[in-house]
Amino acid sequence: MSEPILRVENLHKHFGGLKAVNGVSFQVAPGEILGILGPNGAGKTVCFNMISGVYKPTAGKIVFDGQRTDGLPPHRLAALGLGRTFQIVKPFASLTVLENVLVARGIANYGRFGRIWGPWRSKDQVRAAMEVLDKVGLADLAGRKAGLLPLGNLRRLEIARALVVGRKLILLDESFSGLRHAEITRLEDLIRAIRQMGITVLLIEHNLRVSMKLCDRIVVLEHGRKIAEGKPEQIQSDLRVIEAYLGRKRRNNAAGG
Amino acid sequence: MHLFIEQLLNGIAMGSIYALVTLGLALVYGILRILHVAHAAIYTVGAYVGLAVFKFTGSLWLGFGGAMVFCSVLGVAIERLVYYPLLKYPPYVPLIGSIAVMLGIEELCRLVAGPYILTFPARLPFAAVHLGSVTISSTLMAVYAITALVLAVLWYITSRTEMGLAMRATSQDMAIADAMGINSHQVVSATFVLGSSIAAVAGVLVGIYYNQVYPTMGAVPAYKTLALIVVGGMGSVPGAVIASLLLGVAETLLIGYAQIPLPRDALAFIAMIAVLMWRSEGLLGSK
Repeated sequence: MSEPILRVENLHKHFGGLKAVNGVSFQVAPGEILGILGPNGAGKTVCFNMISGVYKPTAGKIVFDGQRTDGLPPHRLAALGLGRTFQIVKPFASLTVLENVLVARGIANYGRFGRIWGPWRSKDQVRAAMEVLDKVGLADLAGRKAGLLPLGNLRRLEIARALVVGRKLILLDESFSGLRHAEITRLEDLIRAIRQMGITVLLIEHNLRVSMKLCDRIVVLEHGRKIAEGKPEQIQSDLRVIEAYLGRKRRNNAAGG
Repeated sequence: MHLFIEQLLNGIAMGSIYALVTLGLALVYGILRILHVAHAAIYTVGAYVGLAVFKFTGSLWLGFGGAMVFCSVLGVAIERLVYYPLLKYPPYVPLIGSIAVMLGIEELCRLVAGPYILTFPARLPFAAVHLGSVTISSTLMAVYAITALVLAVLWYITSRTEMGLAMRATSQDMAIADAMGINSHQVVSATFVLGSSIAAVAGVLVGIYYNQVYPTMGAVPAYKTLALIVVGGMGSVPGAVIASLLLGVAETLLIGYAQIPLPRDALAFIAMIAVLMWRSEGLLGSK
């Protein structure tokens, strides 16, 4: 394994007495699609929020692209090339689709107070934003108000924004949930295309079939701990994973039947 | 007819001044969802600082500039020291903090400058305009011109600069704006700089307009602008401007024509209650 793009070491996040994430470690190799799986409340989104800087870890270490990043605020991580989507889609509803992407395009400038007073609608900016929209298949909707898009397109818009920010790594938080079958297939193709662009993908997914097909490796969390890690076929046959997902009784039935 | 036009012109001037104070409040509400009551105290401080700089240097423009700088610093200080630490609590907590700050600043003005009404003996260097038999005085012209300039600059910033885009994004969702690489805390501070410097302009302008500067000059504007951002539609900047202009005109015309034995401010609030009964979400608000 080459130098990992992201390394998470013994990560803890406690909310009062609740240990939402309790000693999780994993690594993501450049160009990999790594899936994080687990039942509700397993701590997947909390992990995402720590990696993207929303939460400060209670303990543990996060190294992104060779730099220690735990405790950095989200806008600093974004500037380092980490983009993310949110489980509940949150477009800037009153801005157009194009403007939503342009907000993210301003990233080179937002970090500095003095440089943000310039105009933003330059031709280059708009062209670059349109290229990204083209990649996710939203180019023809660029002028629409984002609040009017249906869910499938909103997820694409979220990914477009994340792509602009995430030059190196993007985190996708349940991008497939609530989508129809045809949309799922298109989104799978999009995520593979993103990997082709040289961007590493870390995704949280509930849909087992999708993650088995899409991911190179999978990390399974339960109750804030990592219970399995490996290639999809290894995960599929891992007893602890089956137990976590289907419950003990079903496993016994399956074993007996 | 003649009288009517003059009343109308006065009403628009009144409304322009309301708009200048309300703008800051609408901007802050839009981005932090806090009712920034202390904004009116910033406006009072603006009038005092403008007057002091004017007396010291003899230059009205330095007075405006000094007031804007001082109020920007004050606004950001209030945001960083009072609102930001209180953001995690329910909205009434920062609101109470804001009221406390407002009273504190008022008392501070009284202690420093004395409880008297000071005069603001400046003349605004604008030419009076004659249109037929109607004369627009130089003071009115100054109010119109300065308000128009402020609105134009604000429009330019919010719709044409990256800062404006970042402000609009941050006001919709701070967490997402952060994930997009926007330092949202800086954007919030920039919003306070904008709102507070506009309030400073309004304070100086009102000081000259009425030739009065006194510690509680912010009290009535505080209530009125709060009502105005509700009437305009919470957090809507265009709504706040329209509501302010309408109120200024309505107030002046009601005083001039309707034989209602009520003071001006009572009429203003009656007008606003009427609007809210008709459109509870405000003029440009969404339900």
